[in-house]
Amino acid sequence: MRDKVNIESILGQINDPAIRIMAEHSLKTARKALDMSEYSRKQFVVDEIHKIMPRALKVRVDHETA
Amino acid sequence: MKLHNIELVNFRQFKDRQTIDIATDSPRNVSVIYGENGRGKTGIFRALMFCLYGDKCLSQDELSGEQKKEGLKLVNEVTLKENIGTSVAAKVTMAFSHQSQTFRIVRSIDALMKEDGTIVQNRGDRVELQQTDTAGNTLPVETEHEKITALIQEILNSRLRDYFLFDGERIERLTRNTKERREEVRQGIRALLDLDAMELAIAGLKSLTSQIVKEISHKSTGELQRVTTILAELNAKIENLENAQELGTQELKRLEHKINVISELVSENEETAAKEKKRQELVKNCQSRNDERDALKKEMASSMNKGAHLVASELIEQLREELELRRHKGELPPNIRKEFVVNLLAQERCICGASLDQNHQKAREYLLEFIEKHYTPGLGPESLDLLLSLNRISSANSGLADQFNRLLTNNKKLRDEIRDLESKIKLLNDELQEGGTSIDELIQERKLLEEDKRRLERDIERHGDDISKAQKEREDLKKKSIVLEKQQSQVNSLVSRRVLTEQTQAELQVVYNRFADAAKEKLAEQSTANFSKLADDETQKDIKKISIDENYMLDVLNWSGQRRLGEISAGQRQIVSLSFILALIQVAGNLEVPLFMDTPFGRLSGVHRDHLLDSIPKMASQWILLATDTEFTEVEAHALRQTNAWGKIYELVKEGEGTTRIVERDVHQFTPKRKSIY
Repeated sequence: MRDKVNIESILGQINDPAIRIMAEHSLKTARKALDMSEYSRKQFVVDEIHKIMPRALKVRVDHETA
Repeated sequence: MKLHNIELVNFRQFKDRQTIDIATDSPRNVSVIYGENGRGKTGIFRALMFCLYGDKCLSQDELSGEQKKEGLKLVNEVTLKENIGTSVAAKVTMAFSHQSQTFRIVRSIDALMKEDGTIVQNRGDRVELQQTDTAGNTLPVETEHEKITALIQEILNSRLRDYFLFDGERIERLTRNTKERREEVRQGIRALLDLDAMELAIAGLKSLTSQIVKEISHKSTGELQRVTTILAELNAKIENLENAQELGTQELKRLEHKINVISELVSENEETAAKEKKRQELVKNCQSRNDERDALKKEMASSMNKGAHLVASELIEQLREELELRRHKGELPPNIRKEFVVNLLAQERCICGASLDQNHQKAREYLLEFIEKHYTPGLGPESLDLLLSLNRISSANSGLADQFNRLLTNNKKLRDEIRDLESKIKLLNDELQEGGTSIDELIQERKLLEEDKRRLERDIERHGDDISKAQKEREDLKKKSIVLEKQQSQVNSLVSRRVLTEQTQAELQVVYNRFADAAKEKLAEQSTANFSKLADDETQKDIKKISIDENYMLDVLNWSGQRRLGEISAGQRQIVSLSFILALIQVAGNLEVPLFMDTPFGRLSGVHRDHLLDSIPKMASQWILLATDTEFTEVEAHALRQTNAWGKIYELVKEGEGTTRIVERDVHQFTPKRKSIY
């Protein structure tokens, strides 16, 4: 009976691992940020994405090297 | 998330410790909290919100701004009154499971009642959480607010809190065609489907991209490209100069070698050198003689006009001697003219002043005798003139001949000397040429070579200076380049970041669009399916489909596809709302929660109630029905019993003023106080 739509499963299908990491992290961060004030939520997302970027870039480099 | 148990201690009207076990076993997943108005049905949900999120009020509470900030008083007033001046805690304990893990969360808040009856409630609360993992291990009790909040957010995000409690009024409101309701539906869909989080994620990525682009713009000056170009040019220049330097050095060595060879040749042949020296002296001497002779020739040329007298000097001399002889014989008139002497006699005065008058007869006679002797006819007076001229020429010729003799003698001497010198020079030249290359040529060549060498040395020195200058410039530029490269490296890193954020943003936008469209379509489809189960036959004839448009606006379409939301009854709208709410829970992947419904049957007809009681247990994982005695009558109890989904029933019983006791009843034995009104 249940036919749920789940955004995580769609994000999990993104082929590029670096983009996948970024997308999943962005969404996760945005969910957290929605509890914050309107004023600070976007900057929180920006800061958090900024933090995950080195890992995503490294994955991209490793992936391209491989 | 599956709710197992709620324990209340002095929370709101629930004095002391009271417990509700929620029906969890499928298919018995329906729990009924039964009570008259004001008994605290909503208080159960309130306790849940307090326990999970620390909420002291609900969104539907109509409170002023200050009241919302303060929140409701949560500690049981009766208990506070019994303990005036003493702090009393209201505590809610909730047990639930989620993804095969179990959780027990306890939250409490203190308050006290003053003598004057004023209640002072603490702003903060205490919370602790105990977790048992999937392997059954009990983890240490967590007491940090932040960690507990983060964990609860992971399980059930607080922004969804409004979407698992629906009271009758709210259910009815959802389908009102007003801007506020549309916004509520829109927010509900966006929140439950994570679309708002997606939008925020996309906005965050956009903002980050802008920040990175700004940073790139700030750090990119094109200076590195300029410096790199100059460096490349400098490298080429230095390379060319060094090549020229190398060639110059080689050429210099060659020249030096050649000069040395020539110098050796010159110095090794001393005789040649001596001859050469002598030859040069002779040449110099010869030149000097030639110069002297040239001067002599000029002098001779200037004396040549006098040469004619000299040529005729013999003839002139013979003629002069002849005339002189004849003058001695008196054949020539004297030098004094006859008229002059005659005139002296006539004037009787000599040129010396002496008187020649009659008294000086002797002197007169002498003059008369002179006239008679010398002015007798013979050669004329011209002969005397000729003699005088010849005497003058003879006198001049006597010096000229000596001069001519001297010039000619000198000329001859010089000519002889020059001939001698030239002869010697020719001889030496012949000797030197017999020995091979002329020493002059060698020396001349060496001289030219030394000039070349000096020029080359100057070139090499200039090249060296140019190289040093270029190298210095290159070093400076390299230092600058390193700084710029560092900046460029940062720019490259930023560009990688920008590319990644842009790609992620684009990908998320695609996912969002696809997901939002699919979710709306799915929601509409599921709402329609729910509606077909909940609505009675007549309603289904009027409404064929529930739609959600691009603006998330909920509507119903009749058989011909016309919008009809504004025309249907309040009861029908409630069925539409419930269909939509259930669809939300069914479709939303992140909403696995017990569905609380507070007095949902108010406007529903009997058939609709039956359908609801039959269908909702199948659609929701847990259904907690908060019902009044007027809407949960024997008929509803019977209908629910028939579904075999009814697991628990609690009756809220008033014990005294401000106190409610939660009493568990047997679902099989429970008899509602009122019979059906139908």
